[in-house]
Amino acid sequence: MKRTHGTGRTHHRRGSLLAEGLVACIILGVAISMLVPSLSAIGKQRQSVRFDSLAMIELNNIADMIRQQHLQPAEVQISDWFSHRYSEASLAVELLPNDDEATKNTLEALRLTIRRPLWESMPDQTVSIVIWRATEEPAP
Amino acid sequence: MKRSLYTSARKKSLRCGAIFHYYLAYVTLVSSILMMTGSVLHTILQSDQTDRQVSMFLHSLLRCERTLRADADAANPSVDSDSALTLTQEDGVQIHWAVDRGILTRLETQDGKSLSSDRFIFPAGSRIEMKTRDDGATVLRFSEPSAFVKYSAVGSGGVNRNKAVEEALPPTPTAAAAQPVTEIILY
Repeated sequence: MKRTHGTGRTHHRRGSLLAEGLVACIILGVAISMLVPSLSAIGKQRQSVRFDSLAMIELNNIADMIRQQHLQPAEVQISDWFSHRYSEASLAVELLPNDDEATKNTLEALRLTIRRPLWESMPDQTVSIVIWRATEEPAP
Repeated sequence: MKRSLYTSARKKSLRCGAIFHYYLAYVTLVSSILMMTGSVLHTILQSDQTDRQVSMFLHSLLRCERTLRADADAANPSVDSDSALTLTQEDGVQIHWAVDRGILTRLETQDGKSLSSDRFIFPAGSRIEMKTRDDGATVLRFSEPSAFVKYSAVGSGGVNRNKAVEEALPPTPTAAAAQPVTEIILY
């Protein structure tokens, strides 16, 4: 940076001005303020992926239990390990209509859904699967 | 004349070199900027490492679950010990699942001959247990590495897996240090 004095001489100033440092600091501050929400979003995304995977394992456990033990939808509950991890999660079991004439009386479809509320203004996170099982009493 | 000499000397002394407090402000700013940059870099790298571990755990877990359920569809599992499980199919093929610290091995044999094998590597510090419940269900219990223990970076699948490098001192209370658990249940 050069400055010309009234004498016409050019003066080379050493060191840097406080203002320059402040500008650099402000720019860095803006960059960091953009970075922090991104890091937070990465953390939330990681939690979301983990929930997806673990909920799928739990749904497969429940599906296996329903098939093997012929439980009614109302009797099904979330396992202890899953409710310890996600105490706010809930399970819904829904009987779906089977319109296929060939399997109408022998198979029934169930939709299993695990839902967990997310932070404010975000829709709930849901993971669901549909399973088929033989009806207990086939029609004559 | 005297006055003009004094003024010129004063001017000269003012503009010669940088003023001390400029240097001081400069050093303070630079050090705070470096400190912020360092902490941001540290957070990013730590987040990346956590991501890698979580991704490794979930990938191994999902692959293991898929394979195990497929095996259990074809044969009934029987738990030999808390670290071994055997499934015998109708055609005589035996599938052995065995745990060695954080590594789960699947070995398929027939008449003593090895047909195929597979390994599921979990991050260092993971624990896997097998057991039969009272209702007859077979349970594989996976505990994730503790957040309060630092394991070696080469621990996963390496010779020193599950060997702690550093542990929190004083020891973390049991309730807080409880490792998150995932269970695969075969009915």
